[in-house]
Amino acid sequence: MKNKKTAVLMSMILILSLVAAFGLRSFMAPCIHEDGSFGSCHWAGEALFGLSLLMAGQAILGLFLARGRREFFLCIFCDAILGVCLPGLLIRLCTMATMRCQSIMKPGVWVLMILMGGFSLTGFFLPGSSQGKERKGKT
Amino acid sequence: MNLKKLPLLNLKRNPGRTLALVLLTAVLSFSIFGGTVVVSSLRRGLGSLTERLGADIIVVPSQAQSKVSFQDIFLQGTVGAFYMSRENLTRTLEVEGVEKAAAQVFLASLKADCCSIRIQVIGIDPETDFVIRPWLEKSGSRGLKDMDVVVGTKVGAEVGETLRIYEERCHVAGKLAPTGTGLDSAVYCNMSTMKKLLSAAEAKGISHKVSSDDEDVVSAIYVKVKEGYDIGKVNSAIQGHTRKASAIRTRSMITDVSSSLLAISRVILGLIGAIWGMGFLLLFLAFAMIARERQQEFALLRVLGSTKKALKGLIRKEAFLCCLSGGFVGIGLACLLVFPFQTLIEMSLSLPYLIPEPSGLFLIALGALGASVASGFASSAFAAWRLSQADPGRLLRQG
Repeated sequence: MKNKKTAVLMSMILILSLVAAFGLRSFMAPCIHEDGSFGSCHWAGEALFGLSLLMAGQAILGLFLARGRREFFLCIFCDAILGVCLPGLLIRLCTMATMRCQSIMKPGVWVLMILMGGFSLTGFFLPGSSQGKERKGKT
Repeated sequence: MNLKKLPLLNLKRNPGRTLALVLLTAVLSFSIFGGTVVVSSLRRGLGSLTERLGADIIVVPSQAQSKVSFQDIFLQGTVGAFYMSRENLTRTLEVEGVEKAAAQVFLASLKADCCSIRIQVIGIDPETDFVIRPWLEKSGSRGLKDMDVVVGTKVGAEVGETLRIYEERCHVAGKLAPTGTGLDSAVYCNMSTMKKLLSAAEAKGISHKVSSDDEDVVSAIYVKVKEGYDIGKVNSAIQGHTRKASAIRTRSMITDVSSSLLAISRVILGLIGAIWGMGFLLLFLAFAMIARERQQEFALLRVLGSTKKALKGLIRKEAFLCCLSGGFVGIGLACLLVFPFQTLIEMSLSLPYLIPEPSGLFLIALGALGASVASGFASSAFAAWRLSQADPGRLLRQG
């Protein structure tokens, strides 16, 4: 039952990370300029896209490798913190708060990363997440 | 068994039912908190606009009404520029009843070094200005020297940093407090800096409607009317005395915004009411169904010696725990949407939008939480009463 709960949390993380990855290529994509050039927000978008795919990968592994699920939750939590820090703090975005990267990409990523961070933290502290290890110890 | 722990144990035993109740209350608190924050932000934005305008009349070129509207620059931060003769400033000052008048020059389409952003640059005369200067003083900046700029809160440059506009390095001398208006995305400088920026733009082959040699143009004249004079009459006098210019009463501009705000507020408050009503009805039905489902459980508790009051208390405690956690979840989710996306909300509404102070937000959150808990209590009251009135013997015999 507890293992089922962690699986549900991991599935939620998988869905959210895929939404983030898809969003960064569509409705949350950073500013596009008329002349085809791009600013630093473009690289923030690329880094976040990569991070989202990494989190999706970790969530898939966490779903199938029930034994190490707790460790995967911890990894995803660290990724989520990185995801919050990336736009604006680690990689500068555009000057104006009204621009797409500041008004859509950053808050959108923040919301998704906070939700994923919350789910991963819950999963980490759920007793069921370390069930695999306990089972291993007993055998 | 400790009866005090029973409500919590009941909730834990039925996670599906508990989750449904928590989610239902979360919807209630989400709509109340989110909607109230948006409406309060709009009201605060209007207050800020009234305070920020600081003038009774604004004189703008007649073209400003048809091309890029002055109101759009002020409310939405649309980048635009329009010019009229500086002679209008002298003419305005000549009108009886005018206490003071200050001119501003707008410059559009200047591109900063980052992301090719268009910035609205507003040139002011620090000696005569009475609109921006009080805000500059509030922000702690020590006046505008040459090549100094003061930026609005939405311009991503901090005090002490350098903002490059047309390869000209401008020192950021101050950052204004948020106003919730389009002026948050503007950059302010003195007239001398404005001239240098224009020259820099011209050197790059970008022509503007106003040249750096052309000192006899202004974009807007802010007028303060003497006390005791009728603003309407002074407005008409300015209108007749100036050339190719329109005098706008700031009050009429605020009335326009106020009526739009009222319409949006009504829609939002109507939505909150509808969601709250539906949520309350659903909660009522949910508690009524739960009460029916748990009749035997409560009959057994009555047989074991629980009083009617204790049973009522048990249901109320369960409702309280569900509604409290649901309230927190709803407020948390609303915070995740309303605060990070405030710029997007402001841009979508095209109205002044200023998030309330933390103390105000705390009160709204407390109100939303209280409303959620109260609705939980109210909707569970009938169920609690019905269960306490039922005959335990009859219920147990029915099986």
